[in-house]
Amino acid sequence: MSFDVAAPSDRHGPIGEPVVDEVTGLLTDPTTPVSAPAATTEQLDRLWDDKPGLWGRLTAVQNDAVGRRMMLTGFFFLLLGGSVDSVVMRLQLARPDSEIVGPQLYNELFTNHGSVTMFLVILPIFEGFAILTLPMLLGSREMPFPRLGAFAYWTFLMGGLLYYSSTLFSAVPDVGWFAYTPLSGPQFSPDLNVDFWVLGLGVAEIGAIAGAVEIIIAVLKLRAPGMTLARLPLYAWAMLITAFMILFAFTPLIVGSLLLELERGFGMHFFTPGAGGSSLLWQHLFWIFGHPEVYIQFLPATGIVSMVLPVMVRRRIAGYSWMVAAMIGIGFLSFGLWAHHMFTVGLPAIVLAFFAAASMVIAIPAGVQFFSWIATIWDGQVRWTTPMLFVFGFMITFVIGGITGVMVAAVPFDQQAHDSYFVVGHLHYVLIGGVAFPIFAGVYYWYPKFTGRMMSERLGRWNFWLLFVGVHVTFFPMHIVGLLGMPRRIYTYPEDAGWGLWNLISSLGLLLILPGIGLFVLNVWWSRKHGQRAGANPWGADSLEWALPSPPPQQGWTRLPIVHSRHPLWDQDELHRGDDRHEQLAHALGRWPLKWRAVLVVGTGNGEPEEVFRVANTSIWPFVTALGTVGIFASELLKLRLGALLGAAIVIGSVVMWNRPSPPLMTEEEELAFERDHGVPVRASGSLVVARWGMALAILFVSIAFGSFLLSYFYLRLENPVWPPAGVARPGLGIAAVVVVLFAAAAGAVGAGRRGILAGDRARLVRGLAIGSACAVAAVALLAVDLASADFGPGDHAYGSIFHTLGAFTIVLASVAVVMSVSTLVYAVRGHYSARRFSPVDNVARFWAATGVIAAISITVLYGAPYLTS
Amino acid sequence: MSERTPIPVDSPFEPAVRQASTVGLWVRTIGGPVVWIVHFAFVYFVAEAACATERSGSNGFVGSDALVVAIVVATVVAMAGCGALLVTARRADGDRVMARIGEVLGMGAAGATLVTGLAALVVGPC
Repeated sequence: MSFDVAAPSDRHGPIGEPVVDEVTGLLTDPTTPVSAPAATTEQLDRLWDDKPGLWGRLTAVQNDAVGRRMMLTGFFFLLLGGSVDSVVMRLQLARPDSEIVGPQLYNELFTNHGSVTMFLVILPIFEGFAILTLPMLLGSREMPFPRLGAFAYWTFLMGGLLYYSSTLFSAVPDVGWFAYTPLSGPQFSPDLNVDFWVLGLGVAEIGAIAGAVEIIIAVLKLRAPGMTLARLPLYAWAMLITAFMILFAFTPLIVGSLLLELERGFGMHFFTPGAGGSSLLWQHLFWIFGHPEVYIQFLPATGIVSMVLPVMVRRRIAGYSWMVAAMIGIGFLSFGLWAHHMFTVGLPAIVLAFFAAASMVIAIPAGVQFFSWIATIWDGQVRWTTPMLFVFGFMITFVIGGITGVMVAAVPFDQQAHDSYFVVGHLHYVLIGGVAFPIFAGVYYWYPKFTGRMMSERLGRWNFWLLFVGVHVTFFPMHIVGLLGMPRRIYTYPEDAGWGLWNLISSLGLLLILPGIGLFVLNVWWSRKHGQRAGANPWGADSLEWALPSPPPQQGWTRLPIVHSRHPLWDQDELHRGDDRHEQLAHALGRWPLKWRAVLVVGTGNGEPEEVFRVANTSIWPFVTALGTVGIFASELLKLRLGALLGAAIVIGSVVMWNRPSPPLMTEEEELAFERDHGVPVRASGSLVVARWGMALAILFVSIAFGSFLLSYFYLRLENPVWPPAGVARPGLGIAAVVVVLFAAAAGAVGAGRRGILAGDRARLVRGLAIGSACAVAAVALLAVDLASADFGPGDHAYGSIFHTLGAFTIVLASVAVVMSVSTLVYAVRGHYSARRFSPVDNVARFWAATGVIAAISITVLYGAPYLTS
Repeated sequence: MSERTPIPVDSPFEPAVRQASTVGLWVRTIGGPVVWIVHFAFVYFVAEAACATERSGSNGFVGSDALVVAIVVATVVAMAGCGALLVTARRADGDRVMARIGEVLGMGAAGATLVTGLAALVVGPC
């Protein structure tokens, strides 16, 4: 069976038959460089491969495995939640007065459709895509924290399954993907439906943040020698910005979800106006996540388009620096738009104006991107391959969605169109045109690299045209029916409303989309065995990954490339030539070490080699940690508080095991010998540089969470003219001062311990960690006692709820720091650290410094704000 | 010790290759957008606080006129910050591509800040 027009049968044979290195008409210069073969390729391939069998699958950490799994899981959830739900909804709405499904099931369908696509589909697909491709694209061998990547995958999967398990309990979430309070609160949603939404998706959100940390450090630190920031592929820029956005956007949502669950499960009052809460606080916390989330999905898509389009027109991207600036600009601006989802809730006029202005301004960087792509096409010659067709579909569809986006940025128009089908049409044009089409383009483009086979062009063209026409037939009428007044989220409508014809057309469009998706699945499946064999660079592309064999070996790059250009495969005759130092280092790393996984770290700005370190190997602990995490959430769902404690114990234990020092497989003398020869430090016991970046991002995550708690505190303060409520005494300042001093002492003692080990004095390290841990335990105990002895409870009023929650956050944060310092203390006593190998000590000291600052601010706010803001 | 080793490798203190700090690079590159978002957060929170206290019937965190003045002053200061960053980006040595990115972002941030601040003059407070 063949789906290709001009595909000779001899190109379809098994491995060993002739391989084509180009697709007809694409490659004008077939002599693009390839990675140099090396005698150690097979040895490294075995070293980097995951173990076989079930155990191997559970312990796998390699970026190929993690990336593929995340993408496949995302597509699986898409078929489950994206497709089935939408088919039933469109069948229901095809005719007026339809009774195929009732209102309750319809509520569940649109809630599931939105939640799954926004949380469980696009995000894991893009993060998985990044984890899969970035090391090859950047000239590196791995992601910085393979175990964290595995943890991200398991949490995505388990969170999704926990969410979907609601169907087994007939408790499918039914309050929309935004779960507005008070509808989602305990009064109006007393059953478990909303708990499944909060807790299931909460697990997946943790996975999203873990994946983001991986991506940020990979782009900034794990690149080929010579790859400066200005030579970064645009896809890497897009993923870097996206990952930072995930960190800044998902954290407030996690905090908001925590507050919602505390209100539902523990009787607290953050969103209950009668008790001093504010239902708008939830909307703020949700949309601070929710609007950037759209751009979190859009930016990776623009990165893919910026890689595919120049290759298909054989021209460099026009205005690289403008394109990067536009991506960064979109990343920032997207955090100033959240309240445009709240134009009708009664915000002050001037606040509406701020958000309307930002919502319109963001069209400018998006426009810059489009003009850049148009200029690139203008300057080149288009090859209408399937990836390019999807890029074309993206450009047409997203422009329409973008223009309607500017329309709803205008307050008067939005107040008319709000919650109408116009918005449904707009968002589907943005998300399908702006996100789904580039995903298809990316799959068609990179599929040959990972399978060694081309996807069928004939099936691809049918796939594209069915989807393109189907999307417009389905979603364009929604704009019209919305302007005719049809509200969204209604399960049926009367015949005399006049919306029947447009809804019928929309539903008929689905008859084109479904076979389109079916053909895509068929193409992926069929081409894996029968597709035309692909060589290293079938598209004649410019970026590094196309220099590797298709499919690449496990380690990707046996011999690291040396980069001199933004388009290395177009501009460089040879990938392994450079200045002597780079050449010798790349050559050495191709032959050595062969018993541990070595990865090169480079300077953030200049791409100069900075460190060679041993990246983590396979481990069961990410899986166990994810199990513990989902155990906490599942126990809370069933109100099994002891189960939640058990889950927390599993998480603590498995994280300690995950990070326990392993034999470095190399002596310090051997490390120094390599260092003398190549001028780059070697760390067989684990990186210092990457670990510092990881800790910096962990501190950033904690700081954003803390900031979200502070925002909630002061928002509730503003909503309450009297603070604390009448009859509640202001907190005493004496204990607060002692607690702050103890936390400062803990941070100082651990810092002194770090300085001790840097001076080679292990006793000072042990002393510092012991004193620091003791001070911290005392501070935590004092604070806990003071919270417990307050004359008001967390369920009494909003003040009590936020007071105890912020206090508990400080206790939890300090407890994490205590666990870190105690486990480091144990290893220090066992003699594990030295002036050269001290990375965990460094991390603990930095985390303690951050904890000290956050605790001081937290306690100042808790105890001081009632005095300062009365 | 090899000539190629940039610092003494037997140093007990943090034996890592010292890379040039990238703090300046990041300030020049994304300083403009950071100024914009700080300005945006400031004017939003001040407006929210002023209007919330006015709604609750108390005298207000700041009066309406003071709110407008605060927003205008914050806008002028933020735009001056964007201008300073722009000049710094233009004068900086080093990678011209990153400098160009910084310039574009600085100009864009100044424009976005101005558009945000103008709201105080065009639309009435609260």
